[in-house]
Amino acid sequence: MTGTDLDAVARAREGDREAFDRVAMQVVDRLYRIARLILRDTELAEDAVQETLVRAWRDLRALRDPARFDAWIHRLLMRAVTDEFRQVQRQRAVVTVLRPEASMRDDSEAIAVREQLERGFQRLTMEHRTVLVLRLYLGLSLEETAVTIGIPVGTAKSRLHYATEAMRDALAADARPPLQEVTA
Amino acid sequence: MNAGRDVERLIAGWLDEEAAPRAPDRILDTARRSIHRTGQRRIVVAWREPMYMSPLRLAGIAAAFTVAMVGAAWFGRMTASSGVGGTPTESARPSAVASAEITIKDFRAARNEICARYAAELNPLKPQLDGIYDAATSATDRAAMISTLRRIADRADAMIGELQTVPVPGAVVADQTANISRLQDTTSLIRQELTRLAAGELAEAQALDLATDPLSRQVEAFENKYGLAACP
Repeated sequence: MTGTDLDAVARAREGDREAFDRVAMQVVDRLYRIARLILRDTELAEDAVQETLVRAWRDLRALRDPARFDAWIHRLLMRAVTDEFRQVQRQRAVVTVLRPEASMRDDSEAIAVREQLERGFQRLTMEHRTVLVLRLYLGLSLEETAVTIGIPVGTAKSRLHYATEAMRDALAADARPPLQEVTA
Repeated sequence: MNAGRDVERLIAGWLDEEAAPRAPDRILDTARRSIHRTGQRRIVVAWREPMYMSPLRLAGIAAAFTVAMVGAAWFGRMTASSGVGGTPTESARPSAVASAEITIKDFRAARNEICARYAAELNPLKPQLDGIYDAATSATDRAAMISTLRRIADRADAMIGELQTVPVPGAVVADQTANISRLQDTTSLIRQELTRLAAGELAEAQALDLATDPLSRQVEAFENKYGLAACP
């Protein structure tokens, strides 16, 4: 799934900055995708990933087993994502809604489904979005999802159930005549 | 069940399409600049919980921190303001053992052996401290974490004791003495942190943990200066 260079992780843990740079290059895209999906905002996602990488470097010596690096850095990312989200909430900033970039060629039905999914996803809390992204995008097991977020497995299961149901409801509720045209 | 799977597949497919192809280069560029200025943390707890602190609480933490630092300085072991190669002050400072016959290579080998041994023992303990500042951590788990942190502090003190016995080339004595002081200051702060943790004062404990960062950076600078392995 990840292909992180474990030897580089081990060397980075001993203070090798070049090795850490190599590791960072290997994980940055994945971290960014996850953060962007959860936060739905490119700038916040960038900040969260930057913070994650800096924290990872700073605390890497605490990582006992390099093979656990991916799980460990995902946990760091979740913390950074939560921090970013809380900051936004405090500042009451407007979160930019991401637009699908490759939808121009799709047929109208596919566009409608995407918009339904987008609306449903947008209405979820960040906690529910996080579970969906970790479980359905990253492909983590429920146990791994729970550990990554730092919640009991039962809570992760409950959140996943709620989020999936909410998405299903969004699809069902939006199964009405689509908008004829969108004007700017 | 099938309907549930269908929805999950639909969501998974949509998330796949929504995911950005790659991260902008500026993320790594900015992170690199920060990392360049950031040292790795050592004995101290690796995990930090974000927590809200009221102004009153912040003032309390500042006061606790001030008392801790003044206390350390009063005992003549405060070295945070002296850089690598700085001249240690007099009084109760630990002093390194100078030896005319010892080369830097000998010193490096002896010190590295000690540090590697303690690193193998202490580094595996650190992940057990995850969540130590988290208010949601159960009392039982926190008690276990406190016990682990105490063990780390005890063993760190033992390591420092061994480091003090290492013969040092004359040119390195001042730096080695200052470095020993910094390691002692670090464990001193951790012991104060233990007291705070035991009292349930999590934010104050975390503030003390943060106060070890400048000391860690100075220890790292010392190790880099002489090409030494990292002590835990």
